[in-house]
Amino acid sequence: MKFALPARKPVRENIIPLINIVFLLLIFFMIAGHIERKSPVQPPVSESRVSEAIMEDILYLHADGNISWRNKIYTLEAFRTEISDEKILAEGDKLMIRADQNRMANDFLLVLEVLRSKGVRDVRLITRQDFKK
Amino acid sequence: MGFFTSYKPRRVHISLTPLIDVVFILLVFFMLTSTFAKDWVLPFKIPELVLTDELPSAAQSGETVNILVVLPQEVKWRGEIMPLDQVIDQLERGRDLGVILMADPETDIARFVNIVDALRPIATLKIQMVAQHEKTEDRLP
Repeated sequence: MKFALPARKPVRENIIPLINIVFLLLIFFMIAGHIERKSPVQPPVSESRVSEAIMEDILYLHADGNISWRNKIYTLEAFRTEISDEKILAEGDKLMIRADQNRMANDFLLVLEVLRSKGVRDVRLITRQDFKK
Repeated sequence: MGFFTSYKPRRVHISLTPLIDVVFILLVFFMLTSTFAKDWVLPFKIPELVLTDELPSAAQSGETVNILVVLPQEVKWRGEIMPLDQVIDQLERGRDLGVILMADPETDIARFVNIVDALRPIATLKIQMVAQHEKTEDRLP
């Protein structure tokens, strides 16, 4: 004897909870993350936890040995000679330096020497946190 | 007339699939492009930087002074290569000790910043920095 099987109704998955979660994730990434252009200069890792607003006017020390300042590229020697007559900062201002971690430390100290001769007294070296620790 | 009575409101089904597609694409975009890393800063007071000509006369005449040269792997403390821990131990025991920090020409900024990080917690330590010029190397131990 055969019984007729009841006709199978297509199961309709409720996708509303999925959409809710996706929306929440989207809102999280939009609010918590920030989009920025990838900088060619990779700052060194430091344990310093001093947080300051990063200013627009940044002196870059590139890994290839160049220095860029206000959209102009200098070698260390050119920076020493050409920048000497230029007013770098207003008195009391802090200068931000973004130096590549692979740049020689002595170059950084030489740049500090030039800055000192220009009357800069306060420098902030931009660093990053080591997430592996 | 019965004009309105014949109207039966139909249940309109709005498809959510295009919405979900767009939301998924936005989610993937934000997941891939967002960064959460924050930049920190390491403050340097430039008066901590000593010009070569201002070095203590003892250092210029080649006598043993507290010069710490950061080498790519080790450090050179008072002219002797030794582990950093040992140097830190000596510095912690000393009182109001000043250190002149220099970087070997082969030392990169990452290594230099590591050493500065290690020295900064020593509250009594006064750190000064000197850049090496070609002639400086000949003059310092």
